[in-house]
Amino acid sequence: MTSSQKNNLSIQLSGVSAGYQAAPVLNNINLVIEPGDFVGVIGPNGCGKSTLLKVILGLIKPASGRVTLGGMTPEKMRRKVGYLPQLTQIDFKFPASVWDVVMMGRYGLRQGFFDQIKPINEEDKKVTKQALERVGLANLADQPIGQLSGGQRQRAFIARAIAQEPEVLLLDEPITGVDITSQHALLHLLEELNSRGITIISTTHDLNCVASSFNRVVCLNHKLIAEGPPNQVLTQEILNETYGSHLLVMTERGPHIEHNLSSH
Amino acid sequence: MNILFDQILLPLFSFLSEPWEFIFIQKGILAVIMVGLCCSLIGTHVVLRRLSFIGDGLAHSTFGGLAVGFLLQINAFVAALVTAVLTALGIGAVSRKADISLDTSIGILFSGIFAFGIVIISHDRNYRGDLFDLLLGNVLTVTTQDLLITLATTCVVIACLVMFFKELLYSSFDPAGAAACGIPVAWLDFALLVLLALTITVSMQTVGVVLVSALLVTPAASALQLTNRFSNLMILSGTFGIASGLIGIYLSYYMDVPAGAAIVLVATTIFFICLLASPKRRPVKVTEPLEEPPAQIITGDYHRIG
Repeated sequence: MTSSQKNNLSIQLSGVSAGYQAAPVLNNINLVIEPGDFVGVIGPNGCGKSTLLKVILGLIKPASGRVTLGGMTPEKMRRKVGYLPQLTQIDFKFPASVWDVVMMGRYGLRQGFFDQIKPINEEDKKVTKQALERVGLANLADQPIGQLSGGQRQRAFIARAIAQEPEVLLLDEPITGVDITSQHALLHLLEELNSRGITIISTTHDLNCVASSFNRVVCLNHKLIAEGPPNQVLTQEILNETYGSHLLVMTERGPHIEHNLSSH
Repeated sequence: MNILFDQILLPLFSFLSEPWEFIFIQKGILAVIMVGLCCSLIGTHVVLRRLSFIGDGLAHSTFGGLAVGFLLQINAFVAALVTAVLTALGIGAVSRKADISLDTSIGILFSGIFAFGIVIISHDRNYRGDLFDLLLGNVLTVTTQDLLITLATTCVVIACLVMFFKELLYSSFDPAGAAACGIPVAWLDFALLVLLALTITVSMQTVGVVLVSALLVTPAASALQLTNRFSNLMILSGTFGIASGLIGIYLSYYMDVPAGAAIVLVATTIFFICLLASPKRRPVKVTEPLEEPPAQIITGDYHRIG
């Protein structure tokens, strides 16, 4: 299992643009993500958050610029990268148990035709079981995936990504649409995975969880607005620029009313 | 004991064995078993990927291919298969180029090619008699060569579905996730369309253009009523496919109705039985709560920003 071995896969985007020339979804992104980083990607809807993940996965080819993972192309590194897609696109009436879904994480690891057609082996079963235990769903393994709650579904899909034994985990809106208890459980799980050396890059709408859990924030609005530690990046000016509007930023002491008003 | 044997078993045996006395019915029975199995197995992916309409479209365009094959005097099977594959590719291309939905693109192409086929065939007086057979199928005209082609196709389709069980399952369930972990999703989509085209082409003879899509969709939809596991879905769907074929051909023999229609009616009946028997429709029995113990709530200075 991934255990405590540290990975050394750094992700590098240099001058990456994606989408159409007239209205690029991503515009000249330069970004380096170090091994073991815990990165939150924030920005308004349609700002290119999901596209950024897909570019790193090699699912979308950049129109210009270069993406490398540990010096290699994304296509070559896919097996090292776990992915949690937005679950709104999944048909949860599909006839699959939680176990089946998590086991899928093992399918991509096969290389070549003869490896591909071999049936599931003991190692696959062992890792799947461990992944289910780690996300706390071992007792629901035989349930149909559609019968799980929102938070449990997210955890099942995270287990699928872990079963791939990845060095990098990319998550698209993992805490959207789940209740607050599940949100905390998910964040706790991600922190634990990160502490075992897995690089985590997650898009999110929740600025609070970015501030509390993540060690780096990437602010995106087609172009890279800012990136760095949360306490340096989550400022009034940067957030206003990212979201193109005025947000009320709260600190422990209360809202920055004066600051907000004075910027009008 | 003798009464049981004389009154029940013997008549049952002769009821079941009587059709087998005719060579052409033997061939028909073998054909419907293979076609039923082949259609219902690949049908699981057709249903789960919502490709039902594509199956219907391919079946209709295959008819156009047969007509063109007849016109050009080339092998009907090859002509039909090539047309089905080209249509499958054309559907996507037209949809992208014209910026219309896949449904609309299928609707345009399949009816166009189908109409083209009817124009060609109805123009030729010699061929017109077979039009009805092509549309509704005729198991009684299956030749040994047809049987061999059907056998080969069934073997290829089953081999592919079994060999790439894992990859097809993953990409049917979550194409983005499958692609992200390196499964060649686009290639699998194409392979599935080619297998579908093959299946439809060999099924035309037995069940005809109009009814082949029912055999693709109905057994799989029936199985879906009964199970939540994909492997069970394939086993059940295959069983229903074969059962529909067998029961259908006996009905056809004893009641003197077209086999294709009888097969589809049996499949439809099985579907409604499954619908009524489905455990998914029964009220949930409360045994133990599905929820696991409440997650640990992490407290701390969460709401600090800046």
